[in-house]
Amino acid sequence: MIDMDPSAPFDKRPDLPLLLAVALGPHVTWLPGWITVWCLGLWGFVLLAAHRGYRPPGRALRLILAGAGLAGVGLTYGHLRGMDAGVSMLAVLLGVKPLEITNIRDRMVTLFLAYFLVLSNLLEDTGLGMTLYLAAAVLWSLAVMIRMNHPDLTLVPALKRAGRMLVLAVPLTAALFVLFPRLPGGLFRLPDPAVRVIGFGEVVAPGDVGRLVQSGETAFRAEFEGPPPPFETLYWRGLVLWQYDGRAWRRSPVPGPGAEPIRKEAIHRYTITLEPHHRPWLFGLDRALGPPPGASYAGDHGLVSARDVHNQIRYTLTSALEYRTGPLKGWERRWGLGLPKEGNPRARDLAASWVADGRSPAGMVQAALDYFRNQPFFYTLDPPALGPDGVDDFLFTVRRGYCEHYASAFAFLMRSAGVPARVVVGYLGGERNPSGGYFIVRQADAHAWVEVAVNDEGWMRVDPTAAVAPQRVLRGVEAAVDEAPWRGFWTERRLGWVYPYWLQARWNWDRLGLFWTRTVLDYTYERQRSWLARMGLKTGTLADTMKNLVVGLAILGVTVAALTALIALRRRSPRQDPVREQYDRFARHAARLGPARPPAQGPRDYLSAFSRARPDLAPLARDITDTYIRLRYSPHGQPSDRKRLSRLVRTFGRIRR
Amino acid sequence: MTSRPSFGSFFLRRLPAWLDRRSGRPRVYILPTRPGWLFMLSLAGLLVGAVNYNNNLAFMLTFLLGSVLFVALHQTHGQLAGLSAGPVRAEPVFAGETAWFELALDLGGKERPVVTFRIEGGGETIVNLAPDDRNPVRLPLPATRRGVLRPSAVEFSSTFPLGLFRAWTRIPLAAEGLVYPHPVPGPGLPSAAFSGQGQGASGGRGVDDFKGIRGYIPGDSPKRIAWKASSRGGRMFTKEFEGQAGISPELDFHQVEGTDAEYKLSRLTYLLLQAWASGGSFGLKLPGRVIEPGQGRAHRDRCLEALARFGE
Amino acid sequence: MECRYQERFETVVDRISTVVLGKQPQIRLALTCLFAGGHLLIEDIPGIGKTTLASSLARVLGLGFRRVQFTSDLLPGDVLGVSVFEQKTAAFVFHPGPVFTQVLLADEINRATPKTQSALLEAMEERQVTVEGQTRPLPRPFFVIATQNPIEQSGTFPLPDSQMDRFLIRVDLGYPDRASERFLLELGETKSHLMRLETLLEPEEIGAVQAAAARVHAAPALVEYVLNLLEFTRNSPEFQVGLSPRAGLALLAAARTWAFLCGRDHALPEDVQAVLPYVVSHRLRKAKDFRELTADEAASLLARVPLP
Repeated sequence: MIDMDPSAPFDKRPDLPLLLAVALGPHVTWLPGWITVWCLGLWGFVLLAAHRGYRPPGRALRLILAGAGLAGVGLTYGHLRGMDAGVSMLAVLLGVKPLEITNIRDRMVTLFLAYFLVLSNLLEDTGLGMTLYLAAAVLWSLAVMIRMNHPDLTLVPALKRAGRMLVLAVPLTAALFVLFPRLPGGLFRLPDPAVRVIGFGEVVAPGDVGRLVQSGETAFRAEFEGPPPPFETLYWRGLVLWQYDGRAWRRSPVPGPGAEPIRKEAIHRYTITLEPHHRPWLFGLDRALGPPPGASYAGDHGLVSARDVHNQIRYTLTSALEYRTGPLKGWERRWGLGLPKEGNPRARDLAASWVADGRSPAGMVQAALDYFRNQPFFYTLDPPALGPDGVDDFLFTVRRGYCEHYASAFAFLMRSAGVPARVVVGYLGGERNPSGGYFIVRQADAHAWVEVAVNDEGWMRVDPTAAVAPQRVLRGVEAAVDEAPWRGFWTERRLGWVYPYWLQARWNWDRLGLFWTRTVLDYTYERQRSWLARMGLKTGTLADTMKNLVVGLAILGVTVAALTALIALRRRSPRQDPVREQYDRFARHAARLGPARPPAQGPRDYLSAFSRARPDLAPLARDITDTYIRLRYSPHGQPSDRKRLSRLVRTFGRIRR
Repeated sequence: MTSRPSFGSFFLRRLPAWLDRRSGRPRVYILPTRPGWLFMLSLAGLLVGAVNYNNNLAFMLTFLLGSVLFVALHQTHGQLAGLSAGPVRAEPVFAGETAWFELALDLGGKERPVVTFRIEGGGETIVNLAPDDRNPVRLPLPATRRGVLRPSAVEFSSTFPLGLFRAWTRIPLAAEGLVYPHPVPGPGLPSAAFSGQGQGASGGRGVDDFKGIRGYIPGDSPKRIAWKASSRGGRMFTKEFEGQAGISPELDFHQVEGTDAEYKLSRLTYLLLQAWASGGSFGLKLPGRVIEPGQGRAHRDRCLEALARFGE
Repeated sequence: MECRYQERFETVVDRISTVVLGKQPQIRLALTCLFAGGHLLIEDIPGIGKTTLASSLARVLGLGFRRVQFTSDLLPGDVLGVSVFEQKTAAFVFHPGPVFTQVLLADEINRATPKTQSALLEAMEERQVTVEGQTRPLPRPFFVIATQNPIEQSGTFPLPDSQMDRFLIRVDLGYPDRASERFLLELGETKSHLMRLETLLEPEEIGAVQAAAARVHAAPALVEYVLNLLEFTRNSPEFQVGLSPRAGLALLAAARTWAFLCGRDHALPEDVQAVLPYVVSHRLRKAKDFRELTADEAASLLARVPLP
């Protein structure tokens, strides 16, 4: 093992700090800012120290630094459990670790720890981008390791060598990936108190959806089998919110599974690739006709997965765009009319006036929509704050809000008027990727609407936003609001003529990512089972899968070994004359019986050396040597001599002592 | 690190070792290094993470690193597999110097960076072997005592490329490095050392009159070194003085002063070198071995070899 | 197998060694050199029997023999011959020098000036002499045995490496072994024995032997071996310069002749190994101290090149 110049305590090359930075990189977006500063500062110091020749700080100082870092993490989070705190602790410690690096072993341990940081990135986000990140991080880490073991090697040859290793590792990686047994869901996933929830929570308060819209993150992608439905019907139904507490709407555990709608038309089948949002609910086009495997179909037709969605998942659904759910059950009617005892008196008065007018339930829906349409309501992402009687403030004074304001107020009015109503949140519309023909639905497409039951036909969708901002429904969120914060820097105004190309590139990239997910990353327990079953392998139990793994790796091993052997033999054989090979066999065996032949000794000289040691075998050895010389050195060799030689060598090979 | 042909190496020796055995090449053993074990431990940790979160990218990272480990095993083994050593030579040295064993290697046309060579009893030498490099590997071995250095084996090892495994192989050596006795200068050239009776007036090395300078030979007294002449070029020169000495001397073991055989051999070495440098002919008489008087470098080397091998 | 000349060759060696005592290996090499059509360089101190070897060779083979003692004042004309104006015929008449013989002993060749040396070496190479524009062929066979004293260096002109290459084989005779020397001392001068040596080979037979030796089969495997040896000297850092292609030809020719004299019609690696030390030692220099190799050192080269 090569140790570096002992007089230089730090490695001058930026290899390892750079690797640590790569491992930390994707975390920077959510890590507390001081941790990023901490890490970059300490690594920068290490590089500076290497070039200036500073001595490494003492053990005590390092311990103090590590302790301070951990304390900082504790103060920031208030606890030290869960993924975020764990990653933060690892980052803080890896910030300190290079300060003590003096030999190659320490450096390698640091490098191994960096892999855990890389792994935690992969848990945050999956997809093609992360796959490339993974490959790049591993490539760089290998180059760093190679350079640790070969300090003279420059970067490019090291990277080349690392790349070659990586390519050679791919077949085995693929085999392990396919054969390693997957489990249905995480087996013993640790509870995480601080998982960063993306998308909707159990409670939706005014302003919540507006906040979601700030994000350009993808919520899911939907690929239709056959032509997609019209844009304005793309209501991706998510949670059904029943309980209203005067401010926010809340989901309730619904008794019993949902019944199939009694009438269903305009049926579509599609597959959704849902990004992890760490909650159990799934989204489907209004209205889904049944749950995907591993999920349940609640009484309010909400789709709920058995587990929180921590990884990208794919499921296929069938939805009917036109449906009738039939008469309401008792609890539905009861829940659909529930209101707080007090609050929002003016709204209650308005609803009471409609009742007094003797309107039918359908007429009351129409009256409410007319109210929104005729009064000066504004659709805005940036509504002012509302007081304790939020619905009253919104309906009669502020009149500015986003979809959840309208939905909330509408549902309140309906319930006050005795019409069962509930708020539904999900997404509306999406971006059609022309490159793949599928829809990209972003958090920015988040939406809230209302379902009411006006007669025995059951729940019907009513979108009060459409009354205020019909363009939101018809053309999407970008058409409805002035600002588009989720676009970030990449707006048409800034990019100018580049914009179409950029858009096209983004679409292609997204499509490639979806393809990658579909073919590789979405390799689940179920897909593994069906895939292996199609290969004729039994997958019933864990033992079966383990057996597959062992057998598969054995097959791979034998294949690789056979290839290696073949290459090795082919590399050796062409130089070897068969006559010479026979003589070598003779010489090898002769070395067991008597003196060995030095590689530079001629056949006659060896014969006399061997005969002196083994006079008993001299005649046979002489016969072999003469035949060999005749074949190899004289012009008189005959084809019969070849047979003779191999016969003699075989005879000789049978001699045991 | 030393070689540990333990049970682990039995499992880790790979198929090409079988080919090597067929072709009469030495076996290459391979075991994980300490970082290698730690790497495997880290892999186990990564796998637990991947299973826990059931994350396919995490699985991919783990399996990729695991496969890289396997590739590294293969490549580290390949560093030494197919490497064969030709004959080993060592130039004779005087005791107290360092003998350099020159090892001609057949690289099999392959580049083999960072290979460590350790000759038995010597230190480690790290070499980057490249196929177009024509230099043989030179391995130092301190020659402390007169005699013949017979290192029984040379050990090659390598941890390249990743340092996760260490492959090693031992190649038995049949090399001999002659170690001549360390020349011990005396107070002049005692005529007693010459059994030849002729007492010439000049021609030998004495102390009386300055005669000229000649090339330096190991063992010359530093007082006699012609520093002025030596400073001009890379070579060292020694001042010569005319004095009493024998002609065509026969250096006789029994005639040299002293009781210790090694000391006597050292003295003989010095006298022999002086006799050679003077250009005259000289012979050597050791118990059990007589070398007739002769001249020239080859003769000198023959005599020195006899001194080195004395008592063998 | 053709082995007509084998006993005869042994007889020649036997006969010569009755005069040159205890030097069978050198006699064999000298004969190999002669039959391979090359020239021989003997490096040794005076009084060791070089002249005796040369003249007994000439006598046994029935060849004409001349000896030239090289000194610093020897002129090219003294070796090659001069044209002298003759009063009687009023014309220049060429008086051939001692080079016009079949076996020429050039004693202490390194004492002559480079001019004289190169005159002789040119004659050796071309087997003809050009004096004053006229070219005269030398008798056949033409075999030069040159000697050098390696010890005495003052007043000598060492042969340049390019000229050393002209000698096929270099040997040193060395002191006779004790038994031979005792024999020598008891018997006295061996010159008288020399006179009694009878001719064993006809001059025209020598040409036939040379032709037959050149036809000895060198199999591809053997040529490969010679190539490996050449390549090794070129790649090894031990040597200042590797062997030249001419050295390769010389090695193969010497090996063929050796094989022929051993009674074989094909050359073996052993034949190459037998002659190699004497064919290459004067053509290689150590990189370390520019010293020429001894035959032993050259032989050690063999151990390092495996047979193909």
